Amino acid sequence: MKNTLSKFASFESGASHFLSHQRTLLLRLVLLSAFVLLTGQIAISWFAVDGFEETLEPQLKQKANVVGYAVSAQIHYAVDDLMIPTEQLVGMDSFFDNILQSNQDIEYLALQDSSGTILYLRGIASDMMQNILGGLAATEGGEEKFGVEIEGHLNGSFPVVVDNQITNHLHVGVSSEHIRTQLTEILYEVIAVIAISWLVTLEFLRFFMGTRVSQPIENIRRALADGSTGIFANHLVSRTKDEVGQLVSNFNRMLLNLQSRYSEFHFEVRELKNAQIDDNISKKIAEVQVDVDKQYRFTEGIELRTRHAGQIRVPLFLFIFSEEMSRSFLPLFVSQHAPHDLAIPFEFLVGLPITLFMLAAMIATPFGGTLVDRLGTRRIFLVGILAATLGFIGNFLTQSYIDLILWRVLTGVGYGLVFIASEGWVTQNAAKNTRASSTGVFVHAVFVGIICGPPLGGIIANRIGYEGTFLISAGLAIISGIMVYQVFDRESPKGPERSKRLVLGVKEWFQLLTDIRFVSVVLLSSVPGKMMVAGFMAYLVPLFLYDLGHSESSIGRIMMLYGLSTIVLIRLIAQFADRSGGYGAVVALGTAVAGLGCIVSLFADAVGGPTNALIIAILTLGIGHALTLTSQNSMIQQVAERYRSSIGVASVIGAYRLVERIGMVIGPIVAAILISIFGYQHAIVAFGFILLGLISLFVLFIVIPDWKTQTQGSSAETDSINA
Amino acid sequence: MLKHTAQTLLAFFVGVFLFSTVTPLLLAQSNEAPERTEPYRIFAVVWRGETEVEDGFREYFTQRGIPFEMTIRNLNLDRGNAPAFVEEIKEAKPDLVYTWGTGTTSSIVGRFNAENPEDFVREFPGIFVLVAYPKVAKIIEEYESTGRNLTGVSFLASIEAQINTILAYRPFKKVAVIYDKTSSNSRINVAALEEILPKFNLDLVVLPVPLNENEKPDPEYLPQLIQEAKDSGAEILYMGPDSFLTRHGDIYTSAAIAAGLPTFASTQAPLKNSRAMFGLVTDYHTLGKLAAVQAEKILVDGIKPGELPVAQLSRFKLWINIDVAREVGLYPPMEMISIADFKTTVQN
Repeated sequence: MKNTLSKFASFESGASHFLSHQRTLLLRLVLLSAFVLLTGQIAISWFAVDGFEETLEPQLKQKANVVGYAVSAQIHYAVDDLMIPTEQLVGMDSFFDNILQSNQDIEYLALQDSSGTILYLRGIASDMMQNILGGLAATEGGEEKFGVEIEGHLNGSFPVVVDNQITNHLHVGVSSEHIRTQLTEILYEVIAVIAISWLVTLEFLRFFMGTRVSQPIENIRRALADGSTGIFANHLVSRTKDEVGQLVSNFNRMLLNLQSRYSEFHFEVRELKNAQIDDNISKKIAEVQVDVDKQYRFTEGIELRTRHAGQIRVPLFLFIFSEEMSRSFLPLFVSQHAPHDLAIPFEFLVGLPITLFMLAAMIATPFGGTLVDRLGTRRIFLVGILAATLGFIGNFLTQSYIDLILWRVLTGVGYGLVFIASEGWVTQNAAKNTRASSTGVFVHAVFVGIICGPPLGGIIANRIGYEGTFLISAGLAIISGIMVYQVFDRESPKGPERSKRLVLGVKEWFQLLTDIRFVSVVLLSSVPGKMMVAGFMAYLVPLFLYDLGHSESSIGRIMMLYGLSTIVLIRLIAQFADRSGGYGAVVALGTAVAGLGCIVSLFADAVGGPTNALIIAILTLGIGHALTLTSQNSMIQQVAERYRSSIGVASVIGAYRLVERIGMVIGPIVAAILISIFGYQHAIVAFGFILLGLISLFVLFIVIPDWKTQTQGSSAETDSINA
Repeated sequence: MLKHTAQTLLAFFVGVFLFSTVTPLLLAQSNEAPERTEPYRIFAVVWRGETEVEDGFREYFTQRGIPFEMTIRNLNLDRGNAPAFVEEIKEAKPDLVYTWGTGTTSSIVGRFNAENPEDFVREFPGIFVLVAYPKVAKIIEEYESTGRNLTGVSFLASIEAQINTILAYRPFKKVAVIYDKTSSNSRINVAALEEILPKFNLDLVVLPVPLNENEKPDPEYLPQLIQEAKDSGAEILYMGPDSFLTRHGDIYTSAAIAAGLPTFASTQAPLKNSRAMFGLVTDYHTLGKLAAVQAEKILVDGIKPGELPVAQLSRFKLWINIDVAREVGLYPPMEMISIADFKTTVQN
């Protein structure tokens, strides 16, 4: 049982030789390409950011100049052409406010009359404005606009001419802080893009190395190993024509030659035997024949294919990537289209597409399972990708709230189908070559997608808009589809390993739902965990961060922290949990960590503002999930073992996966309720208390009884030794 | 089954794609006016001489290269002149009849439920302009489908848009409307104001103009009514599409300025010919072009007028008389200055 988690950590762990081969090769390749890539990227980025810095400031000044001239021209028109006395201008505050609103780079606007009095001012406090004007007068460099920096502000003065006399001055301010913020923003984006491109490269390298190099070499190794024990019956399958492919087919030809020569030899020996008159000699020949047959085997071999469970990883990763692209802005996109005039609260309408997406995926899963059994994984994967791609394209063309939802639901169906097809692929292929756990492949592909999708999607959405980003998602999904189409074997077997009883009967459900362990893990830990993914991460975080003034790309980068913290820790924690053996305690710890992280938002000022508090909540949620995900699986595995003969292990796990997704469905609804009652910041705190409340019940029902049985068990052991 | 689903999805997708690419192409094609050399004959009857509306109308047809001949007759503010023109039109058998204003339209093409239809021009396709309330005036049955061989263009900005303009100028609290109770247009307008103003938390003072011995509204009373409005606490005067007030616009607006009250006008005349302070009005030239678009659909595309909804302009002109604003002491807010058309001299 304990090695479930180690299996979880890597799917290749079955063949240790193969692993070391691949590791060394891959490691070298990765290090080399990383070195080359990173050096190049860093150099290019350096020059780009440097160049950007050089052009940004003049550009900003130029823009401020344009605004300054335009605004002063309007004031000139009002004062000179329409002859409105300057001090009687109406609505100057909202006039200035609107300009500041639509030009975020401009910090303030002020109109000063000929006597030096500031008549109208928006953007900064008036005493600060006085300081700036004082500073300007002191430098006497009033001619060059935005020339001198005074207390972090660059000021430009624009004269307003009335009757050919300069009567007033319009002052336009640019914050030098703003320039620096923009630079930092760009720098972060560059880092995010480098990190993502690196992860993607790694995934692709792994994929091609696995399929084109490591797996064929591993097949040859196995054939050789078998050969050393006298088995020459194997058959190597290779579809590629590259060097390794040629090596494999030559090797295969050699095996075939051996096999045919052996059968010729066999035939001749039989002839020879039959030709003997002396029975002793023919007996002797027969003995030799049997002897040779014992030592060597040339028939009933196995087919060594290049197919392995890990192949699903890149297509699956790309697919998750495509869906995660919209993660950083989906609620914002929805709120652009959701109607305001319905009786239903707006928060619900914004959350509804996420809920329905999850529901569609959840419902598609069991149907998909039946279809996979009937039609094979490859087809269902492709159908899923087609559905999702159409959904993305539909969202690209979104016209209204209703069609937005319909397309999201279509993508959700595709998502569910792809998931179940990948799972099917892993179970079918893992059993043949490796003993890999399916979760390992999933967790890796999903989390790399979760890390890469939101930041890249945010950066793209920032530039080409939400709709366009969906089109890029569609492109990624199509690439994923092409990979599956080309790499996966056409005849995907209808695996006998797969449980036939995928749909449980009422009796089995009753059995499971009255199992206190099963129900506790599901309701007190898994469902809340999924609720946090869909309600907190996918719904609350983007809305709240946007509300706090973050751009889409900044939202995406912050959301990336969740996946990063999970993936960094998950292997470490898997080993730790395996060694400690107290899965329940680890689950409780993980949930408690996530809950406490949320409660930090109650003391946001102490950590430097709501954004920081939210980042802490996201990081702790990632850590919490790293702790809980693996241990929940192990606990369910334990539960499932008890039903091995009745319901079946796979069915129990299938049921668990189905039920835990309820959390995804209710997540946005819970978030909408909490936000409408408490507002964003305190909704996070409420989430924290919900997690802590549920996990204390979990401790009460599971952890404490477990601990008691364990200590009793060990004291019983000591007793027996003493006796 | 799966294959079938995939095919259906694919077909759906291809369908959507084709639809979205082919439709604009088809639309673009239908915009091309077919060649025609014989001119369309348009018979126009106007109320008080030609206006910019007719200029806009002609300009559109010329730009589109549609040949046409336009005969213009002027009622000269008198419905009594109409029967002669009706005879002339029946004689001439034009391709399209064009009527300007409520009075002209109801005396040339008549109400849709007229008791003596033979007295009006009904056999030729018709188009009306400058009819404030065609439905209430029983010229059409509905805006979407007129129920007769006639369509038109509507020229008033919605009351909501007008009120929003008034409130954007200043947060006024009380509006006064002086009106000619013998005119159906004015009564309809006042009824609409009474319904809508409370939604904007605006109070309304309604002051009908008293009648003289001939049962006609008497312009002598206007200054007195404006003083009454001022005394009731109204901060702004609203001038609807009222031809009596338009005719006596000078008396009205000078009295308003004297009383220190701003006047908002919903039609162009009080701004152009008198001294109303501001208004949200239709640009007559643009309106004429819109009418020409309607006419093109009837003449060139062969669409029956009854199937063409009454067309509506989506953009209006914010017109401010800055001299009046100065006299009244209410300068326009900065944000209006950038979008408004200004008038600085009075043309009488």
